[in-house]
Amino acid sequence: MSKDSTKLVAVCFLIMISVLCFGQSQSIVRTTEDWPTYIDPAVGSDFSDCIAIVNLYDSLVFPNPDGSVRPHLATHWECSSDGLVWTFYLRQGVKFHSGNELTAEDVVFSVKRLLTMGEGFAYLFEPFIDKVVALDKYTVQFKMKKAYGPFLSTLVRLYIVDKDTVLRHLDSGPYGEFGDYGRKWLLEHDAGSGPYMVEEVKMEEYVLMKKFDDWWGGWEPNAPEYFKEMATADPVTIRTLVAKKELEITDEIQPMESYEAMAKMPGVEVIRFVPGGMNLNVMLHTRKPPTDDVHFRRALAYAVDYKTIANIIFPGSLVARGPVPQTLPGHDSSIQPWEFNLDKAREELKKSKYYGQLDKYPLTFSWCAEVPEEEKIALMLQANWSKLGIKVEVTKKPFGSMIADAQSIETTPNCSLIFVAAHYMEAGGMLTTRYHSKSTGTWEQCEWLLNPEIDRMIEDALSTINTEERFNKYHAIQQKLVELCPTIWLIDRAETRAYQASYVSWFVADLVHQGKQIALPLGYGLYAHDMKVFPEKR
Amino acid sequence: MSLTKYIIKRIVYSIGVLFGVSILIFIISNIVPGDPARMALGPRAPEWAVDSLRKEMNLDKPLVERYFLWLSNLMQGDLGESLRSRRPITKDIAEYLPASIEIIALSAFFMAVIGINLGRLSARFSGTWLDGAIRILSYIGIVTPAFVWAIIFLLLFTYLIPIFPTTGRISPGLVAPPRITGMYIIDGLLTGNLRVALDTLWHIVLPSLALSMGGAAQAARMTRASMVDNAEKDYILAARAYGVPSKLIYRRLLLKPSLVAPISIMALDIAALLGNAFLVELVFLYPGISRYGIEAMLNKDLFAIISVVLIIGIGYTIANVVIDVIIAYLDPRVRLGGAKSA
Repeated sequence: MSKDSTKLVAVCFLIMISVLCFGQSQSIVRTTEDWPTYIDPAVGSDFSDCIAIVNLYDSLVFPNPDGSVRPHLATHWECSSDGLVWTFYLRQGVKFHSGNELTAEDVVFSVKRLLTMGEGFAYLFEPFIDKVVALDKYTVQFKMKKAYGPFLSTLVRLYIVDKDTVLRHLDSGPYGEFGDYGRKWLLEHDAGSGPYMVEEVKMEEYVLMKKFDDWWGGWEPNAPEYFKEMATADPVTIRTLVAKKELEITDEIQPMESYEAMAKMPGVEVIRFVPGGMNLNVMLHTRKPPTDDVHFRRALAYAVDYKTIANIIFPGSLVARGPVPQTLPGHDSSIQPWEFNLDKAREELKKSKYYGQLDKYPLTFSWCAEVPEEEKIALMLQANWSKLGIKVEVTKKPFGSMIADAQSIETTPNCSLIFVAAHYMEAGGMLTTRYHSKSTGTWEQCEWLLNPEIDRMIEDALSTINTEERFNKYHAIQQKLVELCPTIWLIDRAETRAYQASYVSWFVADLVHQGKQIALPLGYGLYAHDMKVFPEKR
Repeated sequence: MSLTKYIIKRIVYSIGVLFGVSILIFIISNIVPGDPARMALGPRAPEWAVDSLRKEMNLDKPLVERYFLWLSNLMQGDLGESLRSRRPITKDIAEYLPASIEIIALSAFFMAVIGINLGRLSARFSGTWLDGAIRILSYIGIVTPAFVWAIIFLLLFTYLIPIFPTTGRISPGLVAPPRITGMYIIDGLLTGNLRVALDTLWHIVLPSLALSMGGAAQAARMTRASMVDNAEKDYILAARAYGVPSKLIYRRLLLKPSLVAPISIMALDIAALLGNAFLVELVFLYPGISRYGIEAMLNKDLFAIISVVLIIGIGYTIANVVIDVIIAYLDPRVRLGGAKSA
């Protein structure tokens, strides 16, 4: 390259930089999560999906930080004495982003669309809802197949779509006259009435949402004009973005060293809180030797240093007390945590049928490659259990492989180290997905418990409408599970996030500062409507 | 054999290679463990929904039948639907491939400019401290993975000296130009939107530079080696004897004949970037085909995996054909030898 052309390139570059370097003082809150982000409420159900969906769509009821629900699109409701008929009275004058009014017909359409497509949160409703009808423009009635106690809690996951907008965007698909039920269009657009509406979806990059000025709930001053969910979890990128104040709230899956580094940045605060319903489990295969022996399982449970995991590996977490996280309504607070006691572990091991022949039964142990901190736990357990004479073959596996392994009783390892999150804020949901026989073959139950008594107890509890009575039944199930010890419940995980405390007011951080409990379902902690941003302080 | 015949022969061979690649990758993708339909719909989707998706994807049919169905759809331009993006794969590729081509094109530019110039300098000052320094730099360039360069550049030029954007393909607030090629720089220029073209260029400088470092280092080493080798040839000695200035010898007489090997290697390096740019794209949150392909593999997104591998295969094949043609043009012995053995 000649000297002249080198100079030309350099000059062009300088001009380009001077033209393009402009300040950013937008009223925006940006957060990060993994991609994909399915913003269609009949498709999405993961963390990333939920963050977008709760901001774009409204539900009949809305979750409170303590796990209870309050009126939202429904102003009030009634339930028949047998628990089989629920009637909801809708708020009048609610507008979708399209300008259409939200009516009972939209609720009926949304339910039918969700159940027909069978994806997303359909599993929460499909076994229970028989039919749904619009009694008049603002009254909708659900008829249930059987009584379903936690129905109200699950309704935070039933999002209402604009029927007319969806019908205007049907494509070819497998659902007869409804084609694809608007699925293709709703990948990159919304048909909601929520406080934010889709401005732009760039696949693999971000979902940008803009404030819906006509939202029925109204707005406080300084609410963010934009909310952006970006698709990256790379630690270096995230630290750089936070340092440059181009990211307001990080995701919750950064390495601890990253959070420590970000905590030292000016104006950045790192908060830790135990959200309602995520625990870390060592799932023990109850149908495969040697973990098919309850004494062997108890021996393993006694040989775990719970405090190190809760205080050092996942700081801020709580040592677990049974199968249900402590912040989840329905948790049995009488359950005591397991203690780290090698003598008791040896006593239990002696009662096991495998005692004296441990070398013939090495344990297979899988941990999730996407969560690097799990390796520390796996190695710690391997070391602790080796003191009992138990050999452990530790394997790092991508989550996809763990899902594949969990699909059959033969391929599931003896021990699977997995985080599980509750999908609605009540113990029943956790107990069903974790221990009912219907969930065997999924990653959420690598225990293969297949216990008819537990199944019956869960079904009985779920069909109990009276909350106190239902919670008592949940307690009995938890006690029974502790006795069976199919799982080593390690911790109720603290969620850690860094945020720009100097110019963002975030309700979750406020609750943490006030020492209040946070039992919000996935995604609701990033409900942008309740945040405030002060760009001038950036 | 004439050059035209030679090119036709190479293209026919390449089609055969691609056909073989398609069979191989189809078999490998289909036999790895895990049920793509279940993974796409999630663990809680009812069995009827998973079954329905399996049927839609022809997963209920024998492998051979599935391959021919896929091949027949491919001939009609239908690559299937991605389980991850839930869109036709052609749409995904139309979005991500041009983005990748943009950074790869700029990487190629950086590779050529940095690599050849460093090699030329190194050869010109062979045996001096400058030669030594460039050779050490080249070693560092070769052994350092592109994602490490990406992280270094990110910290240096977006944080410590913040002159480049951290992530993305275009600045917030700017609207992508109307689609003509899918490449924002070209589309921006074609539609007279200079700001978008410059903004895109501004965004891709760092990822491109990071991607080019390995190739540039390799090119520098090869250019130097070829030039030092050729410097002992008779025609150069003759030029020296005639008193041709050394600067002129290096620039006019020595450089061009010494570029065949570095260009061949660079062409392959550039083709490899289609598949190797994953971590760099991840660091800069750049929506390219490499990141798309890796995510497809991690999620067992069957048709997307096959499509991306096929595209990478096509990229390699084209690069090979181009190199063969260039070499055949520069060195007729190659195509003549081919004729004798045919």
